[in-house]
Amino acid sequence: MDFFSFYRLGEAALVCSPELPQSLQTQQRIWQMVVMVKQWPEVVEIIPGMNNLTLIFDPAMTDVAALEQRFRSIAQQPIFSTVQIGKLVEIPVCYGGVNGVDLETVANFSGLTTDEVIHLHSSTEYMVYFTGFQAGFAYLGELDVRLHMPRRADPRILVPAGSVAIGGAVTGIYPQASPGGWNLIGCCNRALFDPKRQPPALLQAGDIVRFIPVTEFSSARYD
Amino acid sequence: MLSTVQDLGRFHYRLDGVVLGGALDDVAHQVANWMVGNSADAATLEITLGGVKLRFLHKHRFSLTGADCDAELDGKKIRCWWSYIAQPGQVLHLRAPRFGMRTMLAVRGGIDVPLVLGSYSTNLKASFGGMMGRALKSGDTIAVRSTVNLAWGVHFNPTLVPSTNEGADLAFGIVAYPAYGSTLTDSPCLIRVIPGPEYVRFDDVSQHACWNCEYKITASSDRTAYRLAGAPLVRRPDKLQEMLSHAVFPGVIQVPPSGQPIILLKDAQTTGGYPKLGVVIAADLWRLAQLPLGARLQLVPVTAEDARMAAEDLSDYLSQVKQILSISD
Repeated sequence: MDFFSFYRLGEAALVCSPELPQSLQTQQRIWQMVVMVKQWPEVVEIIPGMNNLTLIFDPAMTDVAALEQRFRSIAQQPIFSTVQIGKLVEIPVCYGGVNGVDLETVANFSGLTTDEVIHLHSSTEYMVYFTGFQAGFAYLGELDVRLHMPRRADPRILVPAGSVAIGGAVTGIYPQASPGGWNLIGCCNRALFDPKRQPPALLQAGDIVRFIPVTEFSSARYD
Repeated sequence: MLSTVQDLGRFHYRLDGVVLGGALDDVAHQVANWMVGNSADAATLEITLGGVKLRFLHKHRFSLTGADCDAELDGKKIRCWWSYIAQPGQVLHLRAPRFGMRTMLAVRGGIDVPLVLGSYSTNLKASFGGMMGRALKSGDTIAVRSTVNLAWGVHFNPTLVPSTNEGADLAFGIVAYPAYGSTLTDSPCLIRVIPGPEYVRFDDVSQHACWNCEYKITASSDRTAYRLAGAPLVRRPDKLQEMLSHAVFPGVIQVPPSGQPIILLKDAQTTGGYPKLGVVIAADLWRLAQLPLGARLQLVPVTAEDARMAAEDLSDYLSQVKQILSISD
């Protein structure tokens, strides 16, 4: 797998990054590498991104050249047929209106009606590529190309918790109220992050997510 | 005016998108803990820009490190980088610091908050950890962990504090890390940076400007990041589309389309999509976090080897402090 490049970032991180367009297959390789790196004692943090992987190590205790060598070697291994397939998570979503203020903007941008946007968004099963950015925030793909939409040039200061959004070629849900630049098309009421749960993030890499359009939620919030 | 419970950070949960967190000045945090006989990872209070009054409900040994806030205990002046005994009812008053940004308050035993996902630190974004996931507010009562099982404390280094009963009540001080003096007063403050993978993507003017121009820390900075204002950094026109999301961590310098650099701090998000100019070396992260809003800084390019030597210097200082206080690992 020669298409990966490796580089050191600062004094305490090694990054493995592909030189090919984003793909699920590359991400499956990343998941497999995460499982392997978890056994390495000198690695203190493992942070997967979209088709890339960063290891954080203790520079005072690590032979960086040797670590990079091992990192390169696991990127060469074939993807096991047992590569992780996660649980199916169904998430009811109220689309549009105050819950999804950018639904019409997305529809206009894509040349579709809002109903078509809702239908396209909710008729696909998404794979969790990785969880990052904020606690419990899962990057979901593949998003129908007709729904791809650039992030807002001017990010919102406050995006409500539970907002279902589109950012470029992926979709996701904001677990907590936060600033954000993605286009908001709906809202869900599931707790995506709970520090009392193990693991705390509901959506884990390899999980399958299905959005179910609803007009209102049957309960206030459930886990 | 933000006070939060902190420790050395929340490790192993960045896979779930959880920020590292922890004391922004981890040098001050560790020394504060050691000066009251705690281990380095006990919970302390990180007090931003002073302006705090605390009343002790019980007798406690406490210490102050980091930014000097002209502290008083019951109206009597006390010093920063010192350890004291407070009697029940005594009031600790911290004013606004003249230099620096954050003061650490450690209490013997450690602040008693639940361990959440392996850390006592406050996650303000996801509202958990620390004091119910939030900053302290007026009227809060802060619990302190029992010291019954804490071995160290009355066994202070005998040359420093006699280990008699009356000695146990003595106050004593530690010399702050030498870089504190220059950090808190020099302007611009020099911050050492290892250039990052996307450094070469900036045009020649920007590559020169980033090491030669001063940047100011803007008011829209917080525990997440210092947002700088100065010479804008412009990328060469390239065919590469938007970067895919990748890991970011404290010290990473991101450059958004505005061209104004953002230096990530302990509460930074776990992934991001902006080009990375470089990474501030670990030995300078605490200094950076002590720079107040409006302060000027200049970035200095260094190598990983320079970073290693700087980390060694800092580690030598911390070892000396432990030795003076008769702490063994």
